[in-house]
Amino acid sequence: MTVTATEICVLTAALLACLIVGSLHLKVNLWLYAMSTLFIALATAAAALEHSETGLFVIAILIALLKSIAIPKFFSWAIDKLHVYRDLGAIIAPPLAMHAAILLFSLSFILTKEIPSPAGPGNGWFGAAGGISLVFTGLLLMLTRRLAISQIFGFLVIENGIYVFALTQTKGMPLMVEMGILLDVLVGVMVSGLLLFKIQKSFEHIDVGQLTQLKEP
Amino acid sequence: MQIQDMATFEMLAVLLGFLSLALFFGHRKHLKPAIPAALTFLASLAAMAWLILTWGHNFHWQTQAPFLLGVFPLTFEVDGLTRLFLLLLSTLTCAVSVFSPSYISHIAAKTHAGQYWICFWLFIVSMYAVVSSADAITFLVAWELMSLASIALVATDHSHQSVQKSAFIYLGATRVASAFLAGGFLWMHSITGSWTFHDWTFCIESTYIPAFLILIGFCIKSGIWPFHIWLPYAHPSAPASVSAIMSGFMIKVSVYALIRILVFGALNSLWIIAIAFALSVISTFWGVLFALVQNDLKKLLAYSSIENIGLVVMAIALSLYARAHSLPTIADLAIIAAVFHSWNHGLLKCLLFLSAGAVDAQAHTRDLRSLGGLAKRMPWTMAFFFTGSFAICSIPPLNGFSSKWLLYESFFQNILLSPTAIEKGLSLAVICLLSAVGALAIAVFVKAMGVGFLGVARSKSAQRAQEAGVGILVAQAALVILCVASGANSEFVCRLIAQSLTSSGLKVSYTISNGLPTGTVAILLSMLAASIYMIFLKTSKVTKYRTWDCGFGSLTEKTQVSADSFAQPLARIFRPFLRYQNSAKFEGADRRHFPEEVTVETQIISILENRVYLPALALFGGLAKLLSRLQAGSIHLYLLYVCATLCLLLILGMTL
Repeated sequence: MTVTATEICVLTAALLACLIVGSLHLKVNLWLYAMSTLFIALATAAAALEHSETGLFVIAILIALLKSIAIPKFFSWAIDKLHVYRDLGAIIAPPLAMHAAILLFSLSFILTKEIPSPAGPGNGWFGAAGGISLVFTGLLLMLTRRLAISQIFGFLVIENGIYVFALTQTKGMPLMVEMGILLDVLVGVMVSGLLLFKIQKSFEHIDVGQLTQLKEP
Repeated sequence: MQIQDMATFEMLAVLLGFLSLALFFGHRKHLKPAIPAALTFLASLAAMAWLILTWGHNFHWQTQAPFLLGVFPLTFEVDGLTRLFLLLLSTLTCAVSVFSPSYISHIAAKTHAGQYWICFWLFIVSMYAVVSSADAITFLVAWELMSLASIALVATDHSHQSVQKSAFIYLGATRVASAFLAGGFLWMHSITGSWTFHDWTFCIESTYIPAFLILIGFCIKSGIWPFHIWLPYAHPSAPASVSAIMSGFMIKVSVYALIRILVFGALNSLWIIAIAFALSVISTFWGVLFALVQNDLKKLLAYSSIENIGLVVMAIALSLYARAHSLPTIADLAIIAAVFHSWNHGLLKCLLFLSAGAVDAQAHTRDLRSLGGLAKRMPWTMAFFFTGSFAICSIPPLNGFSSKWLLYESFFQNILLSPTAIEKGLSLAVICLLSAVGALAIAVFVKAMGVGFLGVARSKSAQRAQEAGVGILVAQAALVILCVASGANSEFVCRLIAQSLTSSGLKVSYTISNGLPTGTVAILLSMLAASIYMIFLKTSKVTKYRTWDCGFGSLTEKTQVSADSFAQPLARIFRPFLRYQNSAKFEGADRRHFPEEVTVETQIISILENRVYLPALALFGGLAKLLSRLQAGSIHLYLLYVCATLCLLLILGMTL
């Protein structure tokens, strides 16, 4: 079984994402997220070489610029503005959560084996596993964190996972679609950043554990 | 093809017309009611003219591309039976639109005129659509529109707590009815592979459960026991113009649909027919019994509607039974009785509700305990109400008699023709019950007439009542004329109904031998009345003297027979059904001889409501509360739900 360069990059990205769960320092999280995304950009570039599609190069560059530089920069600025540097952690302790993430990482290999792949059995298996692992890691991140900003990180990781899954299973989507999605993510991040400031202003904290009014009275 | 294009064009016209009307009237809180009423009148008149001019033709329309539901065309069909019901609807709408202007001005302060008229139009148009729909999808869409529009109309005066409650109860009832219907329709579609009512037959065993679901759905909407709870709430809460249409036509839509689906589908399951029959028998009795003890005039009429719809469903059940046992004479008679009684009841219940509305508008109360003495102040309204009451008590030659007679006749025929002794005995028992119900109905309307219109006014507002406006009177007069005409020409109408049913595809023959002796009976009855008057009443000389007042001083209006006291003797007989309680309290130092204060209180506890529906609702509410604990408000918990769902889906995807 040969492992392509794309798949190696994807798996590295997934493992880096697992490390995010292990730390409560927001800046460290952000740095790890940037690295993970950079590897995804590398994976895209590798896929572009493999399928010799120039469109994917463009996307790789865009991902590297937007998702691994611009968005982390924005949040780094937001963290300084909000004066919150550490998450409080919820439900399970970070080291335990990280091990759970690694467990899910290996579980996703078993899962992907069962999923009927359009590329045929065994083909693109590692890539799909990386994608699903990223989704799981993102969900775990959202579950084990209390700050609203960490929820956004989790969401971004999930988004990465979905992108990776699409990339490895369909040999990349059309350029227009990918650019649209990138724009969506960017807008989503901006809006959630704004909301962060709003929440901070109204509640004097960004702890979603304390926001429990979201139900019928 | 041309007709199809025409249908599309008409759909477009109706939609655009509606939209423009909505834009024009919708936002106006205050509106001269004459303009929309005139529009309604003209439209109904045009519909009526079209229905009469094209009599005998069958139309079949299917909508084209833009007016599809998904990929399904809306199918409409106007045949004989449809035409009969549509004619009734357009007649009632005409009458109500004449009635509306002066009535609406009485309740203008409490209503948003624009919303009222938009809902009213939607209600009427959707009823046209329901009756003329030829497939289940079209039917359900129009049915839902009709239900929702009528709920909005019931809630017209929604500032009152009681009106809100009524609207909610009615909303609940319609939801349950629609659920049953949708279940039945889907089931039938999976059996027959067709949505069209023509293709549905209920002759084989696998179709019995959907037939039962459909039956229950229509029973709920038409107010058959034990699903009648909503009816006495919704009818009194709605404005009179709406309750006249609701009671006059909307509950007949269910009857129409029962005939169209189950009778035309030749349902032959004895169990379902027996259930329908039993429920209808109970409803007639229950309805009339509860009507007797009501003090709200419109509530009384609503319960009387339950009784009459019970009669109609009884006729339908009898017809189904007779057809399943190949007794065509009885089947034909019963189905004609059902359609005819729907017609008659539609006319006269509309008339009675309009009269009640006139009383309500003038005396500002519908409570019989504070009415009275209206005969002198509102003589015309009294005349119309009395005619309607006579008609509903089936006094010949009015129309209530003819259709009820047909029902009796079909049961008599059943005694003669049915093979087993049990059926003969059962028919006889039902005839006895029907006559008891008829007698009770007379008591009900004697109470309404006597307490409401005769005697002396029991309140200041009743004392100040004046004759209603011209429009109100004209609408009632037109309905009275129709009632009399329909009763006098019952032979003609019956033949017309038989012809229409035959042209719709159900072979029905009306033989002259079952002819109604309306004229003879009327002459005999009037002779009897005249002779009674001559012998017993004429001879007694009228002497004027002061009534002995037992030393209490001058008599007040309280000393009249009251609504409660009139019903009391009969209510006592049926105490176990009504849970009727009557308690009197005497207060004062020497309360045995000189009571200072006497209070009498009557109380009726609705067993069905308190023992069945409220506990069921409480159970449902409890379950809902249990389920709502899932919604804890914590974002982490919600994320966990998402995660769990994702995992579940993945696992399902792997195993399946």
